[in-house]
Amino acid sequence: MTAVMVAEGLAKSFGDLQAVDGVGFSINEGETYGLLGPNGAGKTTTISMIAGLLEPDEGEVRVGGDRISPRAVTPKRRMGLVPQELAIYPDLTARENLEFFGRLYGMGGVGLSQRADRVLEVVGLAERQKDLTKEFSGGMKRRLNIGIGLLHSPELLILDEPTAGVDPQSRNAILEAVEELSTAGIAVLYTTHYMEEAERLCDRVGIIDQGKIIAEGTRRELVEMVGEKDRVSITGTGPVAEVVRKLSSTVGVAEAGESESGVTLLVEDSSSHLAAILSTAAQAGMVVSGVEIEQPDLEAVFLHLTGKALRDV
Amino acid sequence: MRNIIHIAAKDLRLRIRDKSVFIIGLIAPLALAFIFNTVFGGAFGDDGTFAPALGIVETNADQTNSTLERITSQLGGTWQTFADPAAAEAALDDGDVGAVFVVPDSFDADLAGGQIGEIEVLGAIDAGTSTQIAAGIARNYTNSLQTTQVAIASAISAGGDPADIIPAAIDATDQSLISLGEVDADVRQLDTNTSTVAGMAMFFLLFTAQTGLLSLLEERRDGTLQRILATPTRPASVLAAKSIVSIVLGVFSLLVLIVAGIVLMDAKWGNPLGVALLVIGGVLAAVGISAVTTGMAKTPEQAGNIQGIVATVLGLLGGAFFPIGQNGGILAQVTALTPHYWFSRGLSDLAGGQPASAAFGAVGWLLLIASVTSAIAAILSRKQISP
Repeated sequence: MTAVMVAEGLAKSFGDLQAVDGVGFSINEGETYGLLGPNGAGKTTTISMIAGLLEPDEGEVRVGGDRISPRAVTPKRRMGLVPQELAIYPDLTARENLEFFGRLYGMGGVGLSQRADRVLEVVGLAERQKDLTKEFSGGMKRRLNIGIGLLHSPELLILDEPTAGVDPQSRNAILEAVEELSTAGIAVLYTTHYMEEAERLCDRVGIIDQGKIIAEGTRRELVEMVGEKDRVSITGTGPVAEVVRKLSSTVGVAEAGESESGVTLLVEDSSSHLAAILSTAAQAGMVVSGVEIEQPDLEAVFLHLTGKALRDV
Repeated sequence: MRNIIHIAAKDLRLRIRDKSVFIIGLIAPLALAFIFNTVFGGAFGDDGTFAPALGIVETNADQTNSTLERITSQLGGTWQTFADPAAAEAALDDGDVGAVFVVPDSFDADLAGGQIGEIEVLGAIDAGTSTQIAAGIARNYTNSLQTTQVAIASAISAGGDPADIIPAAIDATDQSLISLGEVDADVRQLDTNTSTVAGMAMFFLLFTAQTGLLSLLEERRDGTLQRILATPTRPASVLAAKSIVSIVLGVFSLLVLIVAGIVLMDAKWGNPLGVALLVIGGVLAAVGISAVTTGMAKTPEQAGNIQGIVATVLGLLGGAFFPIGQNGGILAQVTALTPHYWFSRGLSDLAGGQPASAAFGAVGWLLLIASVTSAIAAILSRKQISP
């Protein structure tokens, strides 16, 4: 996989405050990378440096191999930014907003017009393209906000909490659009307070706290890192005590016990071991009528690592 | 360069769409110019020259008030005589006269007895300038009569011939009164209507010129500046685009006012090339000053407030409302630091059919003001242009 963006040793301080301290990560082509952290953790400062809005005190960011800075032009052509706050002009129409930012990326003529048509379709605003955006609902503005970031077909798209404050319908449309980006090969840097969004969208996640990335990896890697295990509940009839005894010695099972309707297990990576577990239960004489798996989520990982629930911060 | 044009075009579209530029740049200055013209209108003639309509209440037909009448005549004004104060007040209400002298019946008798009576001045409420002028004439007239009495008494006691001394003293009194109407030669060359429109144009130009630059703070507040800076656009390009918008709006506003001044108020601007140079110099100076005030502010609201104060102070010092510099002293020095003064000065230099080169000096000063303020603004604006 080719790394579209590489950040190394980023550091930035404001007076005595060390906002970012040695942050580094990379995002590959077609990969969605989630940056999670509480308010004041350094997410916005990190994003600002990656987007070329802030000059880092130390370290560097390369996009497509070119070093980025506030005055760099070439690498910025490869990036799109969707800021958390709506960054659109209320007295311009949806199409005028798109075309204005498209021109700043060097687009023009028929190409710009056709691309604007396509993006308006993608964000579901084709029928309202000639309306001033001040007449739009919050969700429509959010979708246009994302559309502007997509217009010039960037290699890297930075989405800073794009679903904050939107209705469920618009939120789902946004998430679907982001999912399509990764299949189109676009690298996405995604920050959110909604853990389920990170779990749904992100191939890898970096957890940032007090200016440092304290953990990074796939969801599974992060869960394993903090020792969280899957809870597997097997419903059925048969010699439950015998089933529990045999499952206790099965590979991947950390703990097994009886429950009202069957057996409950704590398993490391249930997806890898589920087949062996069910086979063992059947061999022990259990007639299985149902299986329920509860995997530990990023919320639990975040809580474990930072001591704070993400939505409380 | 292309992005500078794209940003400037977008800003101009937004400014035209929200119509604020028309209000600040055209309607307000024209309205104020009309108001000023109306206020001064009672004292100035159709050609913009000083022409007060004055009168006198003569209840004592034996008295001669030829001196007052002669002064009014020499000032280019009109003169009416009223039999009683009621008739004078009716004429004031009808707008036939701007102010009326009421000379006491015993004025001459008092004078012969060594006393100076008090001359009352009645003024029309909408002719403040004429009233003030009349009051000034009356005050100086009585003061000079007192001075004349003392001079004659001193001359006679020193052995002089009264037959020679008295006519000479009276003649000197008339001359000193007439000299009250003299004004500085630089200002006298520009007719009142043109001067009024020019002053208002420069005053409101500071607001129009800030419009483009103010959008920098608005975009910073609204998050669109951050988004623009994330595109392949250099920070300096954004600043350049905003300055261009201010310059375009300023030039447009001034040009429309100049045309409106000619059509509506018979303003006489002088050599077109010279006027064009003054417009460019004046706009650049106004944009420079606006860039400094915008650079000092953290929010658009704060910038607007600072600009309001700066525009008013500069307008007062620069003579946009009244020729403060003619009072001499430190004010005459300070007024030369304002673009208003040099804009009006340049127009004065062009008056009377002078060539464009007559305005070069004023244009040079305007460009100097623009250069100094732009240099200061470039330092101040670094914070604004960072996301």
